[in-house]
Amino acid sequence: MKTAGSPWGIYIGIILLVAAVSAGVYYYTSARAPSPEEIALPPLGTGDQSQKAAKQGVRIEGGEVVEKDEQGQVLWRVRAAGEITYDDKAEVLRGSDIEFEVNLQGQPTVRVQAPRFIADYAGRRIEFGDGVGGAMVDGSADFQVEKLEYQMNTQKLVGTGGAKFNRGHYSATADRIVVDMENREIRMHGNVLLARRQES
Amino acid sequence: MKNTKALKDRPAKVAGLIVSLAMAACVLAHCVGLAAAQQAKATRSAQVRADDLVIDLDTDAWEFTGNCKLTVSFGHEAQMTAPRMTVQFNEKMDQIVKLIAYGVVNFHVVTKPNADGVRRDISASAQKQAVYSEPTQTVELIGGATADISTVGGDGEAAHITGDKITANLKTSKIFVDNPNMKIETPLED
Repeated sequence: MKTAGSPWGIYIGIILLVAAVSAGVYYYTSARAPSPEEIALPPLGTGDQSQKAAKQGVRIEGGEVVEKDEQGQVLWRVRAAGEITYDDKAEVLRGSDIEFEVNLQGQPTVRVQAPRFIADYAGRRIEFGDGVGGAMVDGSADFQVEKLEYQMNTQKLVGTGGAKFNRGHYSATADRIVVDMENREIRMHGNVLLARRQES
Repeated sequence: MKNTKALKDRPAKVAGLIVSLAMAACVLAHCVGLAAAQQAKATRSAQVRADDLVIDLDTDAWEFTGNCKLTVSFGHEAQMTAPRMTVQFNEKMDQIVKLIAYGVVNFHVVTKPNADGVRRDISASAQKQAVYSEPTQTVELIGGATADISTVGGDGEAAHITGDKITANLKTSKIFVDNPNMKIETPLED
C-alpha cells in the first residue's frame, strides 16, 4: 500500500531548496566581483626592447618602468598592460592601461590606474588621462578623477575634473584634488561637497 | 482507517504549518527591519559645502575653508554658514561626531510643527564659533550668541534673544540659552 510522504520531508525539502538557491546566488555574485589580484597587470616587452628604450636613470624591464633617486630608492614605478613606447627625441614615454605606484622612502604609498599615460621627462611630469582611479596602498582611501598629473619634483599628484575622494562611509567631491603623500595630506579645491556615500 | 491516519497526521501538519509561518515571519521581519534601517538612514543626513578642503591623513582632521555651509536634513532642513569648519568622524568613519564652525557663524532652521501645528523660524548667530553634534542633533552657538524667533505664517509675534551660548536641539525643536536676555514683540490688536 502506497502511503503519502511525511509533511516534515516536504518542509525539510523546501528549506534545503531555499538554502541551495541562496548559496547559488551568493556564489554567483561573489564570483562575478573582481578581486584586486585579478587586475594585476602582466609583464610585457623583451630584453631587447628594454635596451632600446633605456634612458639614463630609467630602466624598462618587461613592460615595467622604474625611476630611482641617487641613493637607488624607487621613486615611482609604472607597469603597462597595453602598449608602451619611448620617444627619445622628445624624451616622452607613453603607455596605455597602466598601473602606477608613487613611492616614499622606497615604499609604495599611492597606486594609480589609468587608460592613458604620458611621462614627460623634460617637463618632469607624468600625465594620466581618460578616467583615473587611485588608492592609498594601505587601503584607507581611494579617489577618482578625469585627469591626473604627477609632478616629479614635488612628488605630488594633481587631479582635475570631477575629483572624488572616498574615505570610510563619506566622500568629498571637488573640481581639483592634490594628493601630497610626503605631508600625508589631501587638498581639494573648488565646489567642495562632503556627503555620506550612497549605499549600493 | 483514513480518518484515523488523518487525525494522526494532524499535529505534524499543524507543527509544520507553524514552522513555515515562523520562517515567513522571520523573513518578513528581516525585510521590514532593513527597510526601516534604510528609511532611518535616508531621513537624516549632513552635507558640507565649501571652496576648499584639507584632509590630514594621520589625524583624520577635515578642514573646510571659504563659504562653508552645513546642511542638516532630518525631514526638514537646518543650515549653518561660517568662514571655516572642521569635521571629526567616528573611528568607523560612518558618522560625523562633531563639526566646529569658526568665526562669525549664522544658523537657520524652520522647526517641525508642534502639537498646535505651529512652526517657528529661528535665525541665530554667534561671533566666535558653533558646534554641531550629529549623535545628539544639537547646535551650540558660542560667544555673543543671538537668536530671532518668529512664527511661520503667524501674527507677527517675534522674540529676540541674546546670551553667552544658545543651544538648538534639532530633534526636539527646543532652544536653550545661557545668561539670557530676551525681548518679545507682540503686535497689539486695534
